[in-house]
Amino acid sequence: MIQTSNFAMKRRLTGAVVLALCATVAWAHAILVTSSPEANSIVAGPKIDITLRFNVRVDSTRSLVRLLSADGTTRTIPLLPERVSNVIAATATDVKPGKYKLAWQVLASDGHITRGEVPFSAK
Amino acid sequence: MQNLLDVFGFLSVLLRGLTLSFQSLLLGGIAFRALVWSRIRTESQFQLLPPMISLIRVAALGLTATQLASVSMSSAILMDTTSFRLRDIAGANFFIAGVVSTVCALLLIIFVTADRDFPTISSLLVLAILLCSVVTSHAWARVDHRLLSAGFTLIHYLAAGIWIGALPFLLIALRHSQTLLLSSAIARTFSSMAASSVAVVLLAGGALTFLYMDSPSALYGTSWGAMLGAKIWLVGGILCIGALNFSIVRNLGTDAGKGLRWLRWLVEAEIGIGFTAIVAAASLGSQPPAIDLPNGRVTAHDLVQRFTPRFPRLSTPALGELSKSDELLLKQEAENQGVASAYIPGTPALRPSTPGDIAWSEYNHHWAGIVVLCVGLLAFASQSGKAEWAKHWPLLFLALAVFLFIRADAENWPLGPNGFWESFRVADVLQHRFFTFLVLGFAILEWRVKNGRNAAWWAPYVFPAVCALGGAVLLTHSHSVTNVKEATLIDLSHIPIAVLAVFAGWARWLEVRAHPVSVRLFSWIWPLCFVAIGTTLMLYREA
Repeated sequence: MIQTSNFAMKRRLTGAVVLALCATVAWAHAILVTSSPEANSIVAGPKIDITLRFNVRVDSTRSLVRLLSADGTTRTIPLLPERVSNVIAATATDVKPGKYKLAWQVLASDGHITRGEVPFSAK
Repeated sequence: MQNLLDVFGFLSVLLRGLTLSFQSLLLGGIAFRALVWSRIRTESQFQLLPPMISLIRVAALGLTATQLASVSMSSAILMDTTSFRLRDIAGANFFIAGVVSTVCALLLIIFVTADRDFPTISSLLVLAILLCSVVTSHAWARVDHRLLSAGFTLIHYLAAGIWIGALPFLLIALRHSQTLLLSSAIARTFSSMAASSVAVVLLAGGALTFLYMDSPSALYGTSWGAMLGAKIWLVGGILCIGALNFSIVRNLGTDAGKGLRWLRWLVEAEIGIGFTAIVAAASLGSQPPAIDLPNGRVTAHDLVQRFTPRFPRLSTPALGELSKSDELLLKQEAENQGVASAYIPGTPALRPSTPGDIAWSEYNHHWAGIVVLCVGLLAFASQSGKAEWAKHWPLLFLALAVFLFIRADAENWPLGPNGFWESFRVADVLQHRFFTFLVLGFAILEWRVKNGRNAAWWAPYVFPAVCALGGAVLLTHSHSVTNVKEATLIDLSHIPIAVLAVFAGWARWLEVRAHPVSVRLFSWIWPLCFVAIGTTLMLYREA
């Protein structure tokens, strides 16, 4: 089996010295500015309103939010119609107490794809 | 698909860089025809020269290929990571812009021919391509000042294309010009056009900087700012060459032949650094603007702490001190700090390094720096003419290549458990090995050139070309999305190396071009750049 060790270190050395191609670039603009639920917060279920605000305009029809539960199950939460250009919103229902992650993926208006996760707990 | 995800970030910037380069070249060709060629030539000789038409067509074909690749890649990733189908994605901005740009580029191939002339249609097609580029830039996604940003971006692209993109056409015109009088007229007309474009590029660029940067400290506090700094240095380099050209053009007199010869050589370097600046612009566009990253910036204190010189690390840690896996991802690091994270599909995370990792990396950088510093010093000695033996400096690169081969990928043969052939299955290791052999190749070639053992006309150009190209590609190398401080600090140490490599490459190019005339300015610049690169590497620290 191939072992992958300190990638960053290798990349820096060869990139700097060979002055060549070993690049991995973050091709992204959409950064999560605020979220509801907030990261690592505890919110009351079973119905949870989700709001994700980004620094740039996002294409909400081509973005998605998934709810990942601690037991590994995943479900896609339908997004609400766009009201603000840099916000995506959804409502998760039947959320039982436990630990979750909101996994989001957005397509920014300039065509760049970004993903991220917001961990939270439901009570 | 996993392989595509692995290289998505890098390919995206590379494709964007190529797209911007091809679009500038197309615009430059059309602008050259309209603003220079039409004023110089008589009605009967109004058509562009065949090499100019070929260049426009190659640029159009290149733009078509890069746009198709870019749209296909983004669509494939969207379809793979979501349940969207192609028809769902087809309405997205990037998809429409990519398709329109492709169609326009293909139409340009049809309309720009030797025996027909459609200047208005060509201009409109190029304008459409520029607009497509704007709607896939930072500006179009801004929440505030969207139209203002888009307007300045359009003007910036337009002026940069007219200036940088038209330079290759100037070179063709000068090479094919049959009289010194005509050459002088072409150079003077171009010079006026370029001077105006430079002013517009700087004004529009300044306005965008004002919109995207909240304070001067963002220049060193964010990766975006660091890349902007690189772009400023590169533009500064082009302006220096441009000033030399301007001076030559204004003083073209009785000895116009000599002046024009120098003009052609300098324009070659201007083209090289100019398109590198365009690649830097693509890299800049891959970063969130500084104004969006108010938190977690590198501070002046961080800079002083990190870049205060220390004695190089000359002893290596044991192999067993290196961390064994890459499991701590960026997002986990962010989670531990209680903040939400953001990352790109396929972007390897920057995980916290262990003391062993840091020591290993610093040792590698410092020894590499010592070798590169020696290269620069020996090159200086060789240039002075007082140390004949110093001309063997390229052999030091052989040592560097072996060092890199052994140490850069410690988990692989000969140090690690992964076998020689097995290691080639990992994309980044494959890249490292390829470039290690490239270093090996150009070191041998340059040594043969220095010792008069290779008389091929192209051989002396390999070293400067690889150096300049390597620097340009290194500029596409960046780390952070959410402004991880450590990643920004790495960018701050590596971006200057890239810029120095570009300058070293083009200075050496000009030295080779001017041979047998010895021009001290160029023959000293590139060894100086190597000394600076070596010193930067020796001062490199990760903690």
